Amino acid sequence: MNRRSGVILGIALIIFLVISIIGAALMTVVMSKARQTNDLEKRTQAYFFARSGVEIAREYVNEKRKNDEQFFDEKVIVLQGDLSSENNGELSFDFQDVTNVWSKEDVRASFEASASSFRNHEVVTAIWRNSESTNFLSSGNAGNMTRTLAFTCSEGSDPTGGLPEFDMAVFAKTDFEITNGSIVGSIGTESTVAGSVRIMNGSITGGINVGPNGDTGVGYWSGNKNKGFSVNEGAVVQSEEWIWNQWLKFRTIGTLSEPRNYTLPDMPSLYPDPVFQSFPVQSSMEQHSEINGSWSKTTVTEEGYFPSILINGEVEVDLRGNQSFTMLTESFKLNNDGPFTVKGPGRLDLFVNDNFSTVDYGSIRLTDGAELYIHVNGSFEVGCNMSATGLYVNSNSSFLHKNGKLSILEEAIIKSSSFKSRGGGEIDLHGGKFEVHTSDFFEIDDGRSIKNIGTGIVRARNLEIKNGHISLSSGSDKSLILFAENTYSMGSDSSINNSNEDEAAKRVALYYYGSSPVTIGGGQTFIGTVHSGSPEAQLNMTEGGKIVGTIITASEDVIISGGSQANVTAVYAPNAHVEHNNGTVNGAIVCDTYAMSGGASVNRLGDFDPTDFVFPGSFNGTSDQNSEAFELWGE
Amino acid sequence: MSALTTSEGRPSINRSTGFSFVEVLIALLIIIISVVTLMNFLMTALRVEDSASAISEDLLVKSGKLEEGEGNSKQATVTIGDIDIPGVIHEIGYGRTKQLIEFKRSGQ
Repeated sequence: MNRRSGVILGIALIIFLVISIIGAALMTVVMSKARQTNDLEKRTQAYFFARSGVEIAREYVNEKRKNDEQFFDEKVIVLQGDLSSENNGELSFDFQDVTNVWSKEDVRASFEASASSFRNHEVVTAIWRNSESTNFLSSGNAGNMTRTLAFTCSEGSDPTGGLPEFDMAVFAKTDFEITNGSIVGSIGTESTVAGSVRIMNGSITGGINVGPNGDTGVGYWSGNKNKGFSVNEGAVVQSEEWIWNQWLKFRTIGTLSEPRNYTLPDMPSLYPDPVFQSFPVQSSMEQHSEINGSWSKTTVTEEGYFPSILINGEVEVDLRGNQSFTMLTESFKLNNDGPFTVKGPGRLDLFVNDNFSTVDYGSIRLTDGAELYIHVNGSFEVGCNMSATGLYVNSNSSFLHKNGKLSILEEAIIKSSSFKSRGGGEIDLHGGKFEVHTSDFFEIDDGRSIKNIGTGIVRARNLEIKNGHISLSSGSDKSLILFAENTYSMGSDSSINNSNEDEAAKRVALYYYGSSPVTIGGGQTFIGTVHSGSPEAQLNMTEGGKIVGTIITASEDVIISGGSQANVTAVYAPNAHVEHNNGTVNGAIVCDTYAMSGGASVNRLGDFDPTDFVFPGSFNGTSDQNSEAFELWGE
Repeated sequence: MSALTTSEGRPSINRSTGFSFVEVLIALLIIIISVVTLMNFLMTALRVEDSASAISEDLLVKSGKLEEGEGNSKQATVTIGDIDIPGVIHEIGYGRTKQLIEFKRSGQ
């Protein structure tokens, strides 16, 4: 037998073995790399699931705390669900209250211990609060991979926005006096000076807060000392013995934990002037002779330049179906019944270089789906019933609506020296835009109405609602902002946003920059926010006035008297002396000094919710020691 | 090749020594199969490696973009008990067919 027989096969098999080993090693390396990539994919998706859990939980906390501020103070809640099971944008998550099962002191340990039971959900988030922050522990599960994120946040005291603290019926920073009146709710002062809260008559249903470290005893008022209760001449609160016996001894007198720093929000910048469309160039248009409407019907079937348009009998612009006509003229005058008719379908842009006017009768009308956009560079005076799709007045002259129904279907943008609506009729915006800028008066008189505003901006040097009404179209997205640069006044029986709709007060704001007194009285109704920026502008709320919303004033002098009624977030006048002679404030008052008499009342009721109203502008907080908002992420 | 020497100093070839043709053939076959298989492994490994690297790289880029809110978005509402949480589901694709998803609440 040859000893070498079969050796080569052995060598070949060894080579095969070596190659197999190399192949297996290679495969292991490659599989490891693929597994790593796969793990990375799952880890990344798990990370986004965990982030999503925090997002969902944060909004859940916000919503829950809207109804119950203390909801999370004692609870530990777990939310769980799947993001990829989304059905037409609908996702359903479960929540579990694990307060009694998990230790609030070590939620993480409980969370990790329960991890295996949560594996079948993509998103699992635990929520709990401690004294200063809200905490979230969120797990994302993708395949067999889990990522856990920790998130902690605090709203802080919001130094750049939000609501001041309206936790008392009346807060008077330095001095408080009741000679006759009733307060439902608590009161407070920052003062620690003896006798800076004086109660001679009237009632308070809530507690009394004095300045930090102030004397919380009660002293006699008007020298009636040593008559039955502990005399304390250093006490901030001074009163009569009978008041003490009747109700004061049942009230809690405490101290503020820290001084309050009620500051005024910034006044917004004045609304900028509108930008108007350019007029067409006359020379580039087809030239026509003037339209001098006779008593017989005149039909216009071509666009172009017309030196003037004067209408006595009917003039019809026939757009001949879906055409866009542009007509340019120096002046437009409806001198008699007319009517001036635009027959559609189609669009007519009517440019008037100078004045546009009508008599107090006749009509300007649209038929067959016509659209009419009127652009005027001179004065505008309308007295007839008039319909237009858009109205654009860019003029240094006046705007006068003296009669008839002015119906604007899309938008009215007016820049003029003055805007006056008086006589008969009304202006109907049909839910469209209404923007007016005047260098002098914006005036409504004779009971006229500007109604159905969708989005409204009125910027006037002098805003005078002598006798009239401004109202919004129905819907939560409608708004009106009024800017009064120099004076603001409302006459008797006038109204702005007299609406019963929910949250109507959030839709209207008046910003007043002048220094003349502001009076709300005489049957006026204002539903919205009034913000007066001048310290000189005294605020008077007098007989028959009704305001629903928020009153913010930099004034040093506020008078509430004569049966006025304010349903407000607050009469917020941190620098003012408030003389409350009569009348009712349903809400809170914040001021520097406060004097109540004549049976006045302040009711900060249990269902008081400042967020029902708008507190505009940036606000610098109520405390000198603002805690800052923060957000912290971790794993 | 193997050689033997006679007593006269002449080399003689022992025909029974060496490898038979069949042996060489089988050995060659085994080696060729092994090498081809290894080459296949190698190619597959390179392809997998390349693909995994590309996916990893794309994943990192796209996850960054998703954090910034890029990608396709569609409105979604998460209902938890009586509370509806409106938001948007952001989806961003990576690799050839895969995608990452994230929910972001509205009104932040």
